[in-house]
Amino acid sequence: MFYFTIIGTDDNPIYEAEFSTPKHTFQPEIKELNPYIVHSTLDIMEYLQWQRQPHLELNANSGGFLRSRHNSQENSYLGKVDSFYGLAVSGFLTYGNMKFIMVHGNGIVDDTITRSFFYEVYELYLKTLMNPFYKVNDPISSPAFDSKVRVLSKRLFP
Amino acid sequence: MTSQFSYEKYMNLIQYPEHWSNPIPHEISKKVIYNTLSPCICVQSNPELDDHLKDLYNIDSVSMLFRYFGDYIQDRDQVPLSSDTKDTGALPGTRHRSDSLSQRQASECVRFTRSLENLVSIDSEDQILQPSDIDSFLSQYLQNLEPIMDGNGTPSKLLKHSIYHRFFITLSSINLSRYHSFHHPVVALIPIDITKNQGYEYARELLINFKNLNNTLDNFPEFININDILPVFVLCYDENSREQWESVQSLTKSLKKQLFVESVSISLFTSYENQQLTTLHSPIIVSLHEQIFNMSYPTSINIPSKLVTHLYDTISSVVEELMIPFMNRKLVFWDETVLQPRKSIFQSNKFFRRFISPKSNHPASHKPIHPEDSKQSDIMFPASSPEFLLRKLADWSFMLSDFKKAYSIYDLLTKDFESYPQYLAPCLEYKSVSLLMGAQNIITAKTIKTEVDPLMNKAIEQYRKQEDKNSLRLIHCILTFSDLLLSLSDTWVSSPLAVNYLTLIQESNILGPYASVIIWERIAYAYEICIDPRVNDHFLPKPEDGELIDNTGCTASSKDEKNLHENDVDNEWKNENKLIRNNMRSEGLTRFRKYSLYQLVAAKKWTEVHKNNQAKWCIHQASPAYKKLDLSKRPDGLFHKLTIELS
Repeated sequence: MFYFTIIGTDDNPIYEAEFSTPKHTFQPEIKELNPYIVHSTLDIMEYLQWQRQPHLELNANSGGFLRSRHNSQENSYLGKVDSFYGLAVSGFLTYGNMKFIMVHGNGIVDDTITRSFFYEVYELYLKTLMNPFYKVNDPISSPAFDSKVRVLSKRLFP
Repeated sequence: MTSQFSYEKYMNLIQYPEHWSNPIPHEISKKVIYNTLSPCICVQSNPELDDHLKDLYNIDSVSMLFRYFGDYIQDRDQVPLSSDTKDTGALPGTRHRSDSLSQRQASECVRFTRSLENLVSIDSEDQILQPSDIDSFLSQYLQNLEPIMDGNGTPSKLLKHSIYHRFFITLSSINLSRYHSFHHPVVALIPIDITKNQGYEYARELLINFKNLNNTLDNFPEFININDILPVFVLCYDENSREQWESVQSLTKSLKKQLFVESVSISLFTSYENQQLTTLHSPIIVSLHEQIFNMSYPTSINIPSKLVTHLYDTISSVVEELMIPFMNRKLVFWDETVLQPRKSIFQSNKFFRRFISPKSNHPASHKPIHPEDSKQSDIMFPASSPEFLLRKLADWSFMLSDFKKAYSIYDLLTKDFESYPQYLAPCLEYKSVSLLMGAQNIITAKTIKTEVDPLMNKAIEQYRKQEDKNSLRLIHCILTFSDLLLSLSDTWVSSPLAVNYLTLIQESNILGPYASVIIWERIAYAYEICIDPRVNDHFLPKPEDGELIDNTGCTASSKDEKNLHENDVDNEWKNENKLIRNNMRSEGLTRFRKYSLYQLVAAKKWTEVHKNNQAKWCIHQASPAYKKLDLSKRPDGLFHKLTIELS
C-alpha cells in the first residue's frame, strides 16, 4: 500500500492517490494521517533542497543552489527522506519546486522502482503543465492523468 | 505568600493557575533530574512525637512534615515575604547563588524519605511500579486539571512542561536499589520529643536500635552499610518553656560527648499566638501511591510562618554543617582506600603486581553474592565490596555536583561490571548523565555524535537485554537522556537524537494511553526547538505566537514588510508566475511542520481518552501550520474533524 501526492509550491496537495489492494490497505487511523505525514516531510525536503557546501556558504553570492554538489548527477530523486512509525516516506523534487512524496506502507523504499515511478510521473506532470488551461499549483483533476498514474503504480508496485 | 515562581510552584503548577503564562524556567529539565538524584535524608519515626504532631498540626508524622520542606531547600518559597529574614541573610525566594546548576552548591537540593525500617521493608527492587499505576495517576491528575483548564483558552506551554515533569518524577523510583546508591539515605534524622520528657536514655536507645537495624531486621539488605548513614538527633521542644530549652542544651552536649552524635533543635511545639499561618504546598518527591492518596484526599496543612522559617533554617544547617562535611569526609576516605589503589599502576600492571605482597591491604575484588531466595542471575555486590564502594563514591560525587569525578569513576566501573549487565546498565546510564550534566556548556556537535550518542545507545542496549524486568527503568533512562539532550544549546544536533530516543519508547508500547500522549507531546516539543543556529530570530516564524504561518512559512509581520517593499516598486512589471519565497533564510532549517503533526497526533490521542481541554490546546498549537492549507478545510480531514469535535 502506498500513498502518493504531489505538493505544490504553497504546500497544498495538487494530486493525491492511494494505491492499495483489498488485502493491503492503510489502517483508518493512518489513512487520515497520511496527508499530514506528507506535509511534515516537507521540512526534510526543504532541508535537503537547500543543503549547501560549506565552502560555498562563505561566499553569499555563490550560495548553493538546489544541492549543487550533485550537479553532475541527477538530483531530483531524494530517496527515503523520512519515516513515521513503520511507514517510510520517499521524495522527489522537480526543478519547478514541486514535490512528489510517497508514503510506503510496508516501510521499505525500493530505490530503483520508486525512482522510475517518480520520473515517469514527472513526465506526465510536465505534459499536464504544458496544457495552456492548467496553471501551476492548481489541483490536477484530469482523469487521464489519474488513470495513467494508477496504471503506472500497478505496473511498478504490483 | 510570596509570588516568586519557584521550583516547587513549577512542579505543583496545577495549584497556581496565575503562573501558567510564565516562561519556561531556565535549565528546568536538569533541575528536575538533579532533584530526583539528590541526597536522601530518612526521618526515623517516633510514635509519641507523631501523635503530638497529629494533635497540633494534623500532620501524620514528623517524616511527613519534613517532606514538605524538601527538594530545592534554598528556594524557601513557603516563607512569606513579611517575616523576618535576617537569619537567612537573604530575601526568601531570592537566589543568592548562580542559577546554573553546574555552579551551584550541592546543598541546594535534598529529599526526605520515610524511616530506614520502612524503606527496607519494601522490596528493594523497583519493580513495584507498573505502567498501569502511572496511567491511573495521570488520569486522576489530569481529571483534576480539566476544570481549571476550562477557564484558560490560551495554551500554557509551562503547564504542559510541568505535567511532563510530574510524569517524569512519578517514573523516578524512590525505593532502594542494589545497583546504585542514589536512593540510599545519607543522613538519618532521629526525632526526640522533649515536651514528652524524652531524654538521654530514650535517645540512646533509639540510636542503638538504629545502629543495630542490620542485625535486628531479617530483610536488611547487604548493599546498605548502616555506618555510611549519619545519625542526627532532632530535638523538638517548646520555645516558651525555659526548662525545655535548658534540657535541649544539656542533651545536645551529652549526646555529642557520650554518643558522638550531633543534634539540632526545632521549636516545633511552641504556640505562636497571633502568628500568620502558612499553607504548605504538596511535597514533590513522594511515592506514586502517596501522590494518588493525596489527590484523592487532599489535606491543607497550615503551620505558623515563623515555624516555616525555623524549619528551613534547621534543614539548611543540617545539610550544610553536617551532611555535606560528612559526605566529603567519606569521599576522601573512599578515594584514599578504594579509588587510589585501583588507579595505581602497581595494581593494574601484572609485572608490578608480582612485587606486591599478597597480604597488602589493597581492596581485593569481591565476588558478588547470590541472595538465597533469588534466581541465579540475581547477583548483589555487598556494601563493603570495592565495586559498590566505588559506585557509591561516584554517586555521592554526583550528588555534590562533582560531575567530572563521577564520570571518571563510572568510566572505571564500566570495566568492572562488564560481566554483570544488571550493574552495567545503570552505570552506563549515569556515566552519560554525568557527562551531560557536567560538560553541558562545552559539549559540541561532534562530541554528541561520537561520544554521547554511542554511550547512551550502549546503556539502552544493556537495559534492553533485561527488558522483562526493567521496562520502566529503561523508559526512565531514555527520558533522562532525551531531557538532557533537549536542554543543550545546539538543539539542531541534539533534538533529532532526543526524538529518536523518545520514538523508542513509543515503539516499545509499554506505557498506557495517558503516558503515551505525554510522550507524543514531548516529541512535538523536541521538533519545536529543533532550529538551526544559523537562523536568525528575526526571520523565524514562531508558532507559539499564534501568528499564522502561511504556505511559504512567512508570518504576518514579515508579510507587512513585504507589502511595504512592494509599494516602493509599484511601477515595476510583476511576473505573477514567479515563485515568491519569503522565508528563504529559515527554509529547511526548522521543524515546525513536524511539530504540528505531533501536536495533531497528540490532540487525537487526548480525545480518545476524553481529555478535551488538553486536545484543544494541542489543536491550538498545530493551527498556525495548518489553518491556511486547503488540507485543513477538508470535511473528512483529521484537523477539521478534531476542530469541529472540540469546538
